[in-house]
Amino acid sequence: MSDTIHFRSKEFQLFIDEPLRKFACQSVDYFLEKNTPVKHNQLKAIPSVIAGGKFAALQRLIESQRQKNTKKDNKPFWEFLHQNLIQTQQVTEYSLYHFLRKQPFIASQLSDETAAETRVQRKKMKKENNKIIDPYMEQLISIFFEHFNCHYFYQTQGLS
Amino acid sequence: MQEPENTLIQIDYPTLKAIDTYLETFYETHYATGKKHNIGQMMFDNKLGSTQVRGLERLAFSSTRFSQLINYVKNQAGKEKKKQWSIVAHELIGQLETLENKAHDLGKNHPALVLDIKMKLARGLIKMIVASYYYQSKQDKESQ
Repeated sequence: MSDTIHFRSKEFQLFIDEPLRKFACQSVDYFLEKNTPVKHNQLKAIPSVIAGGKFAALQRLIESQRQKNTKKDNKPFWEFLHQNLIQTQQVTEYSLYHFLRKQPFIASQLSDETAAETRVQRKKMKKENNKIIDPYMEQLISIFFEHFNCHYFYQTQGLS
Repeated sequence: MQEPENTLIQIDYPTLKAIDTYLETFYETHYATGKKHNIGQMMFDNKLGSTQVRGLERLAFSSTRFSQLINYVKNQAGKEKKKQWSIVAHELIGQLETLENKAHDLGKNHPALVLDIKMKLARGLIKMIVASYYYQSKQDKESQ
């Protein structure tokens, strides 16, 4: 894969078709291994929310579900999404942000934040890096959830 | 970020021939009469209707991404209550993944070629499934 790739390039299409799919499926398997499955209707709103308001709308949905949802069984699911899609400080195994950071075509464009000499400098570098990662996130979030939801439904058959 | 090259990448003749040869071998091992991995037969045995089979065929020929096919199968199996897709889905996903791996071999990991080859392989597989389903269906009608 080349150092930087364009969204319309075949490299990027192959990335969303294979590594992203595998990552989404592994995330689902990990969630199901550690938690009680939530009903399918919890996931069904996600694609339309992304279609309507992109990643920002999804972030709002996750935050509101996480804070308002009173059903005890649903809490871990929204917490899982929060941890792996919204918060970027902590490096988790299934963090989409950190998964993208590791991809060679993105990593090659990022500055090494650990090399920053001051806190201000590190903050500035992080901001610059996020400017590079955010457009990728916007582009692939809907396909990530296509993979995520379908695999979730498949792994929890009969739990509509 | 660099712009993608607009040059059209075509699959060369030896690769097209290799795709056909592979599909022929795949047919022999999975779809020739009486084979237990025959998904057309499985769809028929699990009483999946003609609409389901045609739906799969339409999707295979209209989708632009290989993973849309895998996701469709997972979604069908996940949402149904009758459990008709479950066994079929497990086998079909396995076969699609086998084809995906083969596409990397044949396309020598060139992204444009791999994407194109795996769609060709998947469409070839779906043709086998559809033909086999309708053949079984006809055999069944004749025997009644």
